[in-house]
Amino acid sequence: MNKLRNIFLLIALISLSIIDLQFWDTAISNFLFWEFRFPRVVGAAITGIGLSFSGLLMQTLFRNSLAGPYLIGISPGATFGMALFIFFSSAFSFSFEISPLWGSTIGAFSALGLQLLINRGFEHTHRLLLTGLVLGFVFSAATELMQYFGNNEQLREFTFWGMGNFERIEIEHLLSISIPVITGIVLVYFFKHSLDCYLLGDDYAQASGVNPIKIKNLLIWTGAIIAGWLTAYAGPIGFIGLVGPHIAKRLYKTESHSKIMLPAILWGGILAVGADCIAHYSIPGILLPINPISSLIGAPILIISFIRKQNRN
Amino acid sequence: MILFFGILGCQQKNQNQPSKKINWISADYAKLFKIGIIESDTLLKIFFVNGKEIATYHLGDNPNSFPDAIHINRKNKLAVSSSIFARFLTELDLGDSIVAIDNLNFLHSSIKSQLQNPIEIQPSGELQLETLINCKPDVFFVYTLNAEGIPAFTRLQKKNIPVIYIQNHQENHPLARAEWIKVFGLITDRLERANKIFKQVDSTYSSLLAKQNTQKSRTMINAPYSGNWMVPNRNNYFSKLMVDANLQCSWQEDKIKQEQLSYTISLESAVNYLLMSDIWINVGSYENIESLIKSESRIQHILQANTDLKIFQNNKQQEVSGANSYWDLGSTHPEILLKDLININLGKTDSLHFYIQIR
Repeated sequence: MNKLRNIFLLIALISLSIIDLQFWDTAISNFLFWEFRFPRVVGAAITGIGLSFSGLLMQTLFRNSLAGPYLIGISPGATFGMALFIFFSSAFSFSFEISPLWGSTIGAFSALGLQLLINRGFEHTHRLLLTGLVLGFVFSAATELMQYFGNNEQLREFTFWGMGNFERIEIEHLLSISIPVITGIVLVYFFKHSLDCYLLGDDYAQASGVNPIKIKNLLIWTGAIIAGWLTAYAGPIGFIGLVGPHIAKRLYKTESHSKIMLPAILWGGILAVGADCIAHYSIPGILLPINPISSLIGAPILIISFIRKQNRN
Repeated sequence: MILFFGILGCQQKNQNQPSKKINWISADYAKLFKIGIIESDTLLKIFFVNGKEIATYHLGDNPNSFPDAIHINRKNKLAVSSSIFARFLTELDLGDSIVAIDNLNFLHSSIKSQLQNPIEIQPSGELQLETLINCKPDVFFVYTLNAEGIPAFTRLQKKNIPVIYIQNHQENHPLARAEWIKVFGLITDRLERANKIFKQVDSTYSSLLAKQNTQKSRTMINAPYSGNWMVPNRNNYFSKLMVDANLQCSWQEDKIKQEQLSYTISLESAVNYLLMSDIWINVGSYENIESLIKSESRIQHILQANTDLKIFQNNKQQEVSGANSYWDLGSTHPEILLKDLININLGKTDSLHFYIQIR
């Protein structure tokens, strides 16, 4: 039954991608298709898959379905890094060329580095949570301050990046965004049973021969690398990381990683490609920003899910 | 009894309003202001695009003759919140009356040379009310994007600093934007001179239109910001300038219905238009092709595919500080901008005022 469901999800993702790619659109030239449309749609699918996977890892880490990369300061860190790049890159001249994509990734890693420095490891999740909240506030405040002093061009660049879109993903980027996502998924897949044990508590995990500290390190580093890297390319896209795993858990009525990992990432891909479709085709000729769309899709799904759970209880 | 006298009192108060008919003079192009004349008094009404009134100003000897209007008495010390307003005032030889200005960095040297050390009131973007009040201006020229922006200035009105809303940025015709010089002229008692300047602008603009030939070049505008490409819609003043210069706006062929004056299109659509265009103007903030390609590498393929594409950037008058008279002089003198665009269309690129050909 689950296999059938997964196949259905895969077909849904591919169909949605075909709609987004519009294979029947003969007016589009080969150049436009391969340089712009194909990388955008495939990039959206990979980003959705990666964000949802990263969200799943964070939810496992905190044993909480509302967790996401923002909770330990990764997303605010990535945004801060991008802001730093946009507002200050012109003030310094480097002997080598720096891609703006590095700004966000370095920001995400800075958040992680600070977590590591302050908490001397990732052992205590409640301390990670508190530090993450504080770091989130600090990074947001620093970002706001930079915006205050930014000029019109910089503000425009940063605002558009913050709205999120998959337009900037080029065909050469597809490989570089796929590698951390695929590596992360494959790596975590080998630990799927250990993750299930970890979900039942540190003591239970230890009794089952699973080292919870090792698992926490795996979850944090994998989740942070994927979220930070993808945020650099697509901007801070909300709700996909939260909703993808949430839908999978609700539909499969389990938190077992061997069962929900695949549907969770497929749902992430479906949500991202769906949001991209809406952004491009809901108002002909006009491009809408992804972030508000993903939030408008994601928020009602979460609310309905909460209401249904409440009614069932 | 009290109610009766109360009602009677209110009616008498209303009767204090002048019953004489106000002669409203509409502007030639501008839709967001109108001037009313009644004997020795003058009224000025400013509107939002939706027709909602922002404020009514009264210029005359007796402040009580129009109690609901904001009375403007003295006009010797002027404060402005935009370099465009400073340009309007220098056109009227009032540069030395400007005591406060938003940011000197945004000011082109051709305006700066006519000012006498004005105080900066928005050096970091935020209006510094205290600094402004200390300058004791007689009037403060500001712009607002919507009704929500008005309460920020009510404290100034309480300090008896009349705030004049200059909404020329919301006008959708280049000449309508320039016609706001009449408002500056009216407020500063130089209406006749302002009328003369605008008449000259209008006639030069019209004569350029009359001399137009039939050559039409397909044109694309702007550049991508983080994957977003903004374009002006049909009602945008710049689209009208382009149409007047016989430049065919490539992106408007799709007949998109859009209320906003500008909107975002996908990179894919923008590139499609660019591949079919002869001219590409206002290429974001990029100074040359290299910086443009550095920002969006796929532009290189477009340039290789469309070898005839000519690219023009509007930064010929840009100074080291970043000040560019394209924004202020282009607003007060759209005929110079139109002449540039016509010359770009005709391939006469030697005598451009605002533009540089970067490819």
